Amino acid sequence: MYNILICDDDKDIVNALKIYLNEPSYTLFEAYNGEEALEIIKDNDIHLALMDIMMPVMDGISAMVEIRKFTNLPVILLTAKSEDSDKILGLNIGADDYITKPFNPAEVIARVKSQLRRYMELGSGNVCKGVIRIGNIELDDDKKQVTIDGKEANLTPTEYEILKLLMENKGRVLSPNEIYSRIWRGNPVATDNTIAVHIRHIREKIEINPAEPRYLKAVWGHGYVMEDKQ
Amino acid sequence: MKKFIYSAFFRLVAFVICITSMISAGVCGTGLIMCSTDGVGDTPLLDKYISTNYNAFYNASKNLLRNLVYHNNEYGNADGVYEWYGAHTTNMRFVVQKRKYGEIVFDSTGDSGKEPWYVVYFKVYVADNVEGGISSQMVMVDEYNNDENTYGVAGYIDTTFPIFDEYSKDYYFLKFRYDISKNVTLVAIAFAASVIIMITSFILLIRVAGRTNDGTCRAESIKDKIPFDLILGLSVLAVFLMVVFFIDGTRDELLKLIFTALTITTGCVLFLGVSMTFASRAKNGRFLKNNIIYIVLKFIFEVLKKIFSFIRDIPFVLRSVLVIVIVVVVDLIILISVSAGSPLSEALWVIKTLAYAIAAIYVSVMLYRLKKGGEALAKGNLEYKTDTSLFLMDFKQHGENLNSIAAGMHEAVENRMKSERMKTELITNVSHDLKTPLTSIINYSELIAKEECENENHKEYSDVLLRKSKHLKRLLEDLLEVSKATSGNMEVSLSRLDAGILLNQLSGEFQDKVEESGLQLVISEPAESLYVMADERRIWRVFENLMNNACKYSLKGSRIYIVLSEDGENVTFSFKNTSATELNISASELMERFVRGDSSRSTEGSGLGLSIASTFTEIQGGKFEITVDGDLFRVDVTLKKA
Repeated sequence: MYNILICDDDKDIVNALKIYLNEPSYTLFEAYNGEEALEIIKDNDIHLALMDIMMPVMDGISAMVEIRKFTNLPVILLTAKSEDSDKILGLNIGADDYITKPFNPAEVIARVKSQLRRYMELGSGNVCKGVIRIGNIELDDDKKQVTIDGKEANLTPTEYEILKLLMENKGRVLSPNEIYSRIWRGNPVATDNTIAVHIRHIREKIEINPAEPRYLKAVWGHGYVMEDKQ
Repeated sequence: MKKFIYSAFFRLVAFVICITSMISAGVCGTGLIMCSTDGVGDTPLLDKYISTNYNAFYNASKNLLRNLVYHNNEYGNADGVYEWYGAHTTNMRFVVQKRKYGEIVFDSTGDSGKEPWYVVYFKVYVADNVEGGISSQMVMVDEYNNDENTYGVAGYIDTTFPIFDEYSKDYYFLKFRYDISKNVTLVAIAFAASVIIMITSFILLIRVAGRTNDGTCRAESIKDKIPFDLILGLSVLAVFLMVVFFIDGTRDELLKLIFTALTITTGCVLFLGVSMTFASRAKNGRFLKNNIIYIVLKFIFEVLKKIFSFIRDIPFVLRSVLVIVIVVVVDLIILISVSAGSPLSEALWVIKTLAYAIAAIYVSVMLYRLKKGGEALAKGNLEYKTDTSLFLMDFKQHGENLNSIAAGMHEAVENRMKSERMKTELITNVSHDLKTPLTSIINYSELIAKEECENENHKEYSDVLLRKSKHLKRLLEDLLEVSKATSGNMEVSLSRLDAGILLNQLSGEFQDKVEESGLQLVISEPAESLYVMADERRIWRVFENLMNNACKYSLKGSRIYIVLSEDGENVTFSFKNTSATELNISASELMERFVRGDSSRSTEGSGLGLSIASTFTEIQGGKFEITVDGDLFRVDVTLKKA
């Protein structure tokens, strides 16, 4: 049983989210501004909060700051503010995820599940030998297996090799040619787009929203990189 | 009381009192000084008088004797001598006797039988001189000797003083001194009183000067209208002339005394008058202007100003000619002075050279500053201000023009930036406000679509609703982006990108989509790698939009070509595809916002795709060109080579 708080000043959005998150294992709380959200978090054992930014009485950013003073529960910001600077601000003050409106309900559900799993089930740290973990992605080299939030992602052997190479070089931009030569130990033909195609497929398998990847990012004109910065 | 001191009567009285007290203070002061420097002691008045006049007597007797010797020889008689040394001319009485018991040659005592005060003896030497006259020499001796030429002169001063001469004057002065020294205390009190009265009346007069008779307003009398330096100069001149002509020019001792008194009085009156008019002018603040020197200087200044403005009004080129003419004339003068061997030539040359050097440095400093100002302006630094404070004439004007150009441009740019910022802010806010209800629309339409329902139409309608609301979302996002880009509020960070990798990634990302659309992607690029300067995310957005368009509107079974080429400085990405329908629209119309490649076709997409691609290319400093040739649709994206 998880207690989830939904906080938005638009009652219709709260209701819609309640419908989407209507699962027996979730108990839903609702709030219509930052202050109400704070009260509920203080009074109840909340496991996850979905929160809007622009709200009356107390906005989401201020509420976020207050929440972080006493708890580290996962908070997903849900807002119409889509500027990069807004996202960076939200994440910097302690949010765990950021979804812009209008959102895709399926994405919201996936992110809620992902955050809950991280927070409730998967411990942080305990890295075994041969296991590389970036965010919610775990690559077990012994089993040749990749799991996303504990769920197995069905990667082909080539896709697995590419992902492993990128995860081993976390934060480093690898050009398609470099990836190609390190996997197939040879030089590609000039117009060979194999790597680019594989990358897109991997992205579809490991990212919640492949159009806006959080981990496997393309650096256009340079190559690809695995990042743990949200 | 206060009113009284301003009255004309008081002024007159105070004026007279002041003058009187000045004179009395002067007289008393002089007497006191005389007493203190040369005290009379216990000597009686007459004894003192006798002893002080011994020298006068000695000199007078010597002269008398010379005259007598001169006249008593073959040149005349003593009658003429009486004219000068007789009782009617001087108060000094003489008896001159030749040898002891000899002849009395001169006697002006008139047989008064008075005991003489002084007796002196002279031996006289006479010699003929070359011009035919005689010259004489008088040597004082102790007493008569038997020499023919020994004379004795006895004399006294007639203290009844039948005439006024220097002896009587001296006597009166001496008597005055004796009188004072007998009454020192009294005189000192008189002096102190005089000084106090003088200062008081002087201050009062200065106070009332320049005020009307009731003391309320400022007033200027006629004397205040005369230039001050003229008054001062005339006063000094008057006193000076009086001293020169009256005092020094008069022999008569009595007249001299009277004139001296008159001169002193005049001096005091003039001093007081000048002081009062000075006070009046100072109070009325017109002291400086009402001066001949001021008027003359002002006139000179005005003339110089006129000359200067005349020079300023002639055109720049003519002015340069004028400068050259002056330079040539100066050089000529120096040349002439050198050839004339003038000792000033070297100094002149040094001064001239220094003047030229200073002028040249001054002009070049001004030019340098102007150049700096112009450069700053050219570089777009509109806040730069050329310092024109020490500039002259055309340079100043030029500098000020530069400054006003900068100020005008700065203002225009500021205004533009401000309005663009406000526009973007408005669009951002509106789009935020639109997004919130849109969220609910999308969410609920999706919920409706999921809902089980027997009515077939229900499903169809809700699908339309969902599709359109998602379309609306895209439109909104695109609108926001395009408005940000066009108003210059989009951050662009250019970096060096590998064009080959970019195309490789593009083909990878779009491979499935291209195949789904029944198309083929053909990429042709040169063998060597090409690099471009671009913003990684923005250029991706451009290519993504172009590829989406190509996939959407291309004829089934045709090919999409992407050709990479370079020409010196630029790299061009050419996207070519064959339109599925006839392109009944010009390239320029295509670029217009909200106009789609084929307006009759599906309503998918925002219609802003090309617009975004074009704007994003431009903000990266690139060029975006569309060519329509029959059904061939071609876009050239040109970027700077890196």
